[in-house]
Parts: sequence; structure tokens; C-alpha cells
Amino acid sequence: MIINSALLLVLLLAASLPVAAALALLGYALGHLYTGMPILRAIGEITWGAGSETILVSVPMFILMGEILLRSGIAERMYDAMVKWFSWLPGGLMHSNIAACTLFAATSGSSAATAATISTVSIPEMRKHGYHAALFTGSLAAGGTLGILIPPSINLIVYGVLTDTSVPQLYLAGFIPGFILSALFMLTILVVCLVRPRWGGRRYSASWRERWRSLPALLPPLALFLIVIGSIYAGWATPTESASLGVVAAIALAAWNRRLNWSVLKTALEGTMRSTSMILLIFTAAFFLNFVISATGLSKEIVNLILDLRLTPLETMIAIVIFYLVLGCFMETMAMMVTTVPLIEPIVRSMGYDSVWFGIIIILLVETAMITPPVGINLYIVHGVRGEGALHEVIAGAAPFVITLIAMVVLLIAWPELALWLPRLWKESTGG
Amino acid sequence: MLKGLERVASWAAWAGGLVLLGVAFFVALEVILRKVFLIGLSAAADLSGYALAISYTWGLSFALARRAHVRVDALIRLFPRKVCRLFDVLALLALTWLAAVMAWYGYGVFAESLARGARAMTPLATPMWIPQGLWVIGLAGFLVSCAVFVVFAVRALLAGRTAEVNRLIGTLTPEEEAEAEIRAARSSPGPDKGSQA
Repeated sequence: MIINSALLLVLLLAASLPVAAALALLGYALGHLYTGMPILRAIGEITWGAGSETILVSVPMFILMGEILLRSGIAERMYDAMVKWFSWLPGGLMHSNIAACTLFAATSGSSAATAATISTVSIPEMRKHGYHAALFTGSLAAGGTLGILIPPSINLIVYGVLTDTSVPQLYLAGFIPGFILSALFMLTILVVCLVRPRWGGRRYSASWRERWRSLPALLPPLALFLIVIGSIYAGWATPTESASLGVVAAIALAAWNRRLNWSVLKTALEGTMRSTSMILLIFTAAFFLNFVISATGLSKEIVNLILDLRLTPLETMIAIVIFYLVLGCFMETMAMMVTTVPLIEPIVRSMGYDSVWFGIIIILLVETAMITPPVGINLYIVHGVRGEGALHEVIAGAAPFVITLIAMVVLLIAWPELALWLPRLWKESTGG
Repeated sequence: MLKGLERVASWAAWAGGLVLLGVAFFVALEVILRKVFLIGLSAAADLSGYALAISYTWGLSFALARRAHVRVDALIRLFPRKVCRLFDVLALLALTWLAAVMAWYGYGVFAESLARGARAMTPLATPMWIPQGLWVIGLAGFLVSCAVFVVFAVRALLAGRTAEVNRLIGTLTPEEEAEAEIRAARSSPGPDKGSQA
């Protein structure tokens, strides 16, 4: 049964059927072959249920928030401040790229939006100051991926829904790895630029006075962060509600910067609906497939099969990491998560790993998938913003950061506490 | 006809988007009322769930017209162009099947709620046929859109107009995929230039 199902899924996906249709067809086939019940009937209730699942409401909200923030004009001044603080290091503006992405990530739940926003303000600077295009664009593609590791994060919410893990816990688990990864990205730039000083471009040294005076530019992102994330831990809002607060705050900010008008809103809504409908259709199909899989007992069989291999937990984890590194080259990341996480997370849990911790591992692997060719959305976004040169330059420039990401995965496997310390602290302090 | 369909799909998507926007404001209002004025409406959770179910089905046709329904095309790209177009049509047929199944059984859910006068088991006690009715309209619209696209794509394929098939239902290249995001970022002009889309 396992082999048939896996083969069928690979076949359907490789034939380039829409991911949602492939999942639903697989569900139909499995239900037909192994249960003999008219299982397709359930798809009505499941479609309604997937749509009206409350926590999923935060997915379109974060997409909408990103669409509005992109146009709200908060990025320019924020980037400028980061230039004053970080570009004295060897590697100059590239450190500002990472720092600006890190900050923006704390207000944005999407990596694509983070990469697009920061690229738009920083790529004109790359031309002006004669940077090595590959490493510069690579730093933007990689820095952008921080968008889903540092909360808020659409992908962490999706993981939470798929595995029934607490989203507030996942968010807390993302912070420390997020900041460490950001520091490691900077370290990567530093090392590359010390080896190849010519790639470093012109540095820029601001006086302390200039630095302090640039700080007010950080207030809007800080305010957004406090509204979206602070409201959850202050007990004011659920993660779902906080996403709606974020939308309203982003609109207020855009209006404040005089960037809000009907056409901005219209394109933001279009972009939101396009992504939301696509993602929710995949969700619906995946929920249906999961329903069939549990009805047929397949998921138990898969777990047993893996356990029968008698791999140590560490060996299993290494296999999983390699699996995602390969799959991530070819698959769109949201589709990859929805198809694989419901099957893999139970295996991981049965081996004694923590679900919250594994969520962060998955996010790091998804981040890697976003900058590995041929299907790596951030590579194309940065390349598109640049509007000249060759894609392979961006790919080459992102390569050192792929190594950094893998190093981060290794770090997190070696020290799970990096992710688990904050959630536990919070759990203890709230007595839950 | 295709143009008309695309226009209707866009309107439906905007309507769905406005519903989501409305929900965002409503939820924000509820949070503020609850925290600052200690007034509990506790309607937002119900309503936002319905709003998502409705708006996402209303956006499905728009996503179809924008070729947004994700496919893994790494393998089929190795084939000659004509074969790729065959896979495009196959993919569309599979999506049409899904749309039909969802619309058919979705209608069943709606019809049952209507017949039994089912209400939500929450303080709001919404009669379920209302949100489910709007939701079924979205599903039916998606099925119609898929069917129309099948007709046009098959006709173009039989007439050998492969470029047209690609434009209708081909996969987006990653470059095209990234384009939307970039356009959005670009539409953000300098601080004092006013804005345009």
C-alpha cells in the first residue's frame, strides 16, 4: 500500500497536475482501493471545514498585510538606518541587507515579500557603489528567507495547523534561531569578503550622531511588531486576531505615509486573493487526503515502516533533512509543506523529537528551498528586481548562504534548546 | 467570452478580498472593544471563518485565470513543447474534476443545511445555509470557469495554436511567478512622488 501510494503521488505530481488535484486524486484512488467506501462524499464537508478553520484566517491576513507593507513606504528609511549602523563592516551594504531583512521579517510573515521589499530599495545602491552583483543579490535572496523564521510567519502557522502545534509556541521558538541565522548570514558575508576583498564594494562609515538620528525610522516596524506579536503574548489577541490587527495597522501606516489609494488597495487585494485561493485549494485537497490516509491506516503503516528500519533518531533526522534539501529544489514550498509534513511529523514525534523544534527545522529547510534552483522563488524575485544580468549570478551568490542554512540546521539539531528555551520559559511563566 | 469570464472572475476576487478586508477591521474592532471597553461581541471568530470559506472559493476562478494553481513542472519541461501542452490540458482536466467534485458535494452540504434548517452551535446561531449558499456559488463559478477554459484550451490545441494553450493554462515560469511580487514592490514610489499602480 505504501509503495503504491508513493508511486502514484510521484506520478501525479511529475505529470504536472495541479498539486491540489494530484492530492485529491490520490485520496480518491486510495479510498477506492483500500476502504471500499464512497469516501469522495466527504470532500463536501472537508471543503467547508478547511475554509472555515479559524486559525487559517490568519494566512490571507498575513498575505494581505505583506501586500500592503510592500507599498507602504516603510522600507526606504529603515534601510537607510541600517546602512548607517552596519555598512562599516567588510562587505558594506550587504550587512545592511541582512539587517534590514531581519527587521522587516519581524513585521512580515512571508519570505517572498521580505526579499521583494528589501531588494527594491537596496539594488539601486548596489549599482551606485560598485558591489559584486552575485554576492550582493545572493545576500538579498538569503536575507529574505528570514521572513518566515522570525515571527510572524505564514509557514509556521501552516505547520501549526498541519500538526496541531501551538502557534504562539512556534513563534517563540523562531526568535533565537532567527537572530542567530541573521548573524551567521552576516558572518558569511564577512568571511567571503575577507577572502575576496574586491567583492566587498565601498564601505560607508557614519558618525554616531548620524546613527542615533536614524533610529526613529525603526519606529514603524517596531510598532507593527508590537501590535502583531506583542498582542499575542500580552494575552490581548489570539494569533488569528493578531493577524487582523496587523492588516489594520499596515493600512494605517500606508495612509500615514500617503501611500494608500484605491489602485494600491485593488492590486493588494488581487495579489492576496490569488495566493489565498491557491493555498486553500491545496489545503482542502490535503485535508481530504489526510482523512483518507487515516481511514486506511496508511499513516500508521508509514510510521511502522520507518521504525522497522531501526535507524537511530539522528540517522532518521539526517535522512529527513536530505529528503527536504532535494525535494526543495523542485517543489514550491507551500505545496511541499502541505504534502509532506502531515506524514513526516508523526514519525519524528514517535522518535521522541519535539514538534515545536521540528517546526523550526522544517522552516529552515523551506528557507533553503527558497534559494536553491531550479525552483527557488527568492532567486527569481531578486533577479527580477535587478532586471539585468544573469540568473546564475544570483544562484551562485546565494550558494554560500545555502551552506550557512545547512550549518544552522546542524546547530539546531545539536542544540535543540536554541529553539525550545523561549517556549519553555513562556510556558513556565504562564503556568500552562 | 473568455474576456467576460475573466472580468467576472476579477470582480468575484475583489469582492472576496473586500470581505477579507472587512473581516480584518471587524476583528480589530472586536479586540479593541474587548480589551479597552470590556465589551465582548464574540461574533468575529464565526464570521471570519465563513468569510474565509466564501472568499477563497470566490477567488478560485481568478487564480485559475492567473495560472496560479501550483504545478510541479520540472519534469515535463524536458519534453518537446507540443507534449508540454498536452500535459497542460491534462492538468486542467484534473482541476476540472476536482472543481466538479467540490461543487457537487459542496452543494450536498448546502442542501442538507437548508433542508434541516441547521444553525451554527455558537452564540451567533447563524443559519448555515446563508454562508454555505454563498460558498457554493463560488464553487459552482469555479467549475464553470474550468469548463470554459477546457473548451478554449482544447479548441486551441486541436487547431495547433500551442502558444495560445500556454497563455491560457501553461505553467508560469519562475520568472513570471516572481513578477507579481516585484511589480508590487516597484509600485511603491519615492516618499514624495505620490503613488501609482
